[in-house]
Amino acid sequence: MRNQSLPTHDGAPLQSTATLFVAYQQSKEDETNSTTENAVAEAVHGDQWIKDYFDNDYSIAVAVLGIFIEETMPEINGLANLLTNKGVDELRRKVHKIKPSFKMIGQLSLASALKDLENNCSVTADTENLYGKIKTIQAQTERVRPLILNQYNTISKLA
Amino acid sequence: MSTTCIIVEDDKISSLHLQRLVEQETKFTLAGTFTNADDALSFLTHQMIDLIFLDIEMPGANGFQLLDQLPYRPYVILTTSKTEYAFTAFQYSVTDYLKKPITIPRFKESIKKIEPYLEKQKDNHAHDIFIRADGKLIRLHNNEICFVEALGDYVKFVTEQKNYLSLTTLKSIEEKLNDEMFLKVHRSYIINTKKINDIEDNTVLIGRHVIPISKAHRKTVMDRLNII
Repeated sequence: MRNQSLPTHDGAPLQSTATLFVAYQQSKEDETNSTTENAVAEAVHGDQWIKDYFDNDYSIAVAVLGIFIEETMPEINGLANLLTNKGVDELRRKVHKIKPSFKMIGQLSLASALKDLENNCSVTADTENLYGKIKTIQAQTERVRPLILNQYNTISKLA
Repeated sequence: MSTTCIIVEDDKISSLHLQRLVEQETKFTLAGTFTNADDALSFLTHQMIDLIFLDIEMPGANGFQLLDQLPYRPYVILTTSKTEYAFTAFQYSVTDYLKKPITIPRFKESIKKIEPYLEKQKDNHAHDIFIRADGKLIRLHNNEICFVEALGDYVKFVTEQKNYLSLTTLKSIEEKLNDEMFLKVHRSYIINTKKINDIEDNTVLIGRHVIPISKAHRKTVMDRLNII
């Protein structure tokens, strides 16, 4: 795990993990969903993924996180429409496709929630249940979005 | 010798990640990345590669359907986030199965696993050439070729079993053939010296084919052959 004080090119301290942790503590007060808490914690603390998948190469990690923010996260907002317009099979295919990206950037709780959604995408699936799961995932994603953006800003300075 | 590979993956993040992993392997050359099976198939019809990193679920044809259509069979490492395909993967004799997202240790393990196969393949294929004929790439071992004949814009490869016409030049073929085994005897003919039955006057007999030796090439031919 990386230290709290992150080095920069010009020597000035970045917004450290500790600062992000304060944001996490404050946001935690009104948080009731434990899965969301996990997701937030992952966004705050998690840079193990940069080592696991990119061997601490920040330049590629920041490129991947950029694509994730620009393209993968917006896909979450389209899941409900996909289910309505294209059906459960297309929903399963899309969820199957985006799930590894969440895991890759350290969002294990969201990856797990997506896996659960994928597993429930059968022909006999309870559609209301699927919409409910999608709504929960959307809420979790919105919750961690600013923290992921913050992480992007932090590691882009290291890249 | 470098291992040539391609990536077939429709997800941008997974593709970028895999590209980065491949590019860090000094023995590997990435010949291309494709986001669907059709584009990959077009490429593979005209280009020989050693290894494919292949996703299964893609828009259009899936990874297995791509394998069904390939004119030859390179080594295949499947990349997928689903374990349900393992049985089908086994049926297709793929070399390895990487579950996404791919960790660095798992990728290196997979490369280590495939290296002996690639080495063996390179030894076996050191004397092979691939020719474009009959709308596909055909592998010919040097030993199979009796002689090669220029026919206008085409070159005819004569083997003991079959002849192949390929749109190419004799000069480019000459560069690719094993020069210890092959000899140019005429501006339109390159022969496999191991296949010569006899030489009479200005002709060489290979099987039932009589091949002319040109005046310009006669001395070279005689110097190359073990004449007592």
